Amino acid sequence: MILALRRLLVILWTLAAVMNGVTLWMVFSYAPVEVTMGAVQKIFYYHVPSAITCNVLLFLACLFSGLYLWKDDPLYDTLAFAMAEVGWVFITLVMVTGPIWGHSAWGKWWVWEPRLTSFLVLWLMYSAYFLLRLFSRTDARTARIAAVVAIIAFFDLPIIYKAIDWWGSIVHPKKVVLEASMKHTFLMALASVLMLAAAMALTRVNVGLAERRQQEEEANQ
Amino acid sequence: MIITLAQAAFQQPAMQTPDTVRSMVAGYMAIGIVLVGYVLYLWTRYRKLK
Repeated sequence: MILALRRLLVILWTLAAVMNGVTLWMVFSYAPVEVTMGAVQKIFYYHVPSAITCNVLLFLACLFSGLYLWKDDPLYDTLAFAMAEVGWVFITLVMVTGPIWGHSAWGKWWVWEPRLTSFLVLWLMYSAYFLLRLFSRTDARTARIAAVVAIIAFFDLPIIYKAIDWWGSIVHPKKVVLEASMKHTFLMALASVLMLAAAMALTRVNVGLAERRQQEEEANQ
Repeated sequence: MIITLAQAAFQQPAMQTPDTVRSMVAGYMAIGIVLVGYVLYLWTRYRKLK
């Protein structure tokens, strides 16, 4: 079982490295420079896939948190914590690349518009989740509170998605139209970021399970 | 990757003004720092357990 997991990790990390290498080549050599924003638009190829990836990971974190509350099985808590942690890394990636792109494209690091504000709220909620897990005891009560926080935080995602339709936006377009080579590069970037996230999440699950085993062994001694 | 980024930074045709190229390089450096940083953190945790 452990050997099979390690083999799967090697395959996932190798695929993630190769796919990201191809994506970088496509971003810098295949996709054209966008006419109005210039070279900075190339941030789009990692910014948007990171946002989509964090949606997938946070959905899984919410799902496993719900299962933990229902079944009370610590395995689901380990899975939820792993998904939330890797998801938080991708939220941070979006939060870091967005202002760099925005500063060049709009002339401002930050604009208090609905999508950005609701995304900042998401980052703050998952940061709170980690503070809770870092500074509380590793017991079932903390795990239950963390599961509730993860489920509540997840409901910010539909708000972020619908923010432009509900309140409008001065910086985010409603629909993005890409020419063929840009679309190919974007799809490749999306696949490689998802592959990287899968490798990171499975490694994090592996670490979480090993830490739990170690804690149980220490408790039994 | 570093060579490709450096090439992109020094090629400045029509729309590649120094500011947009610098921002692009800064963006990709930030992506690299966040991802490599987290992978190293995971690796350190994983090694500690062995």
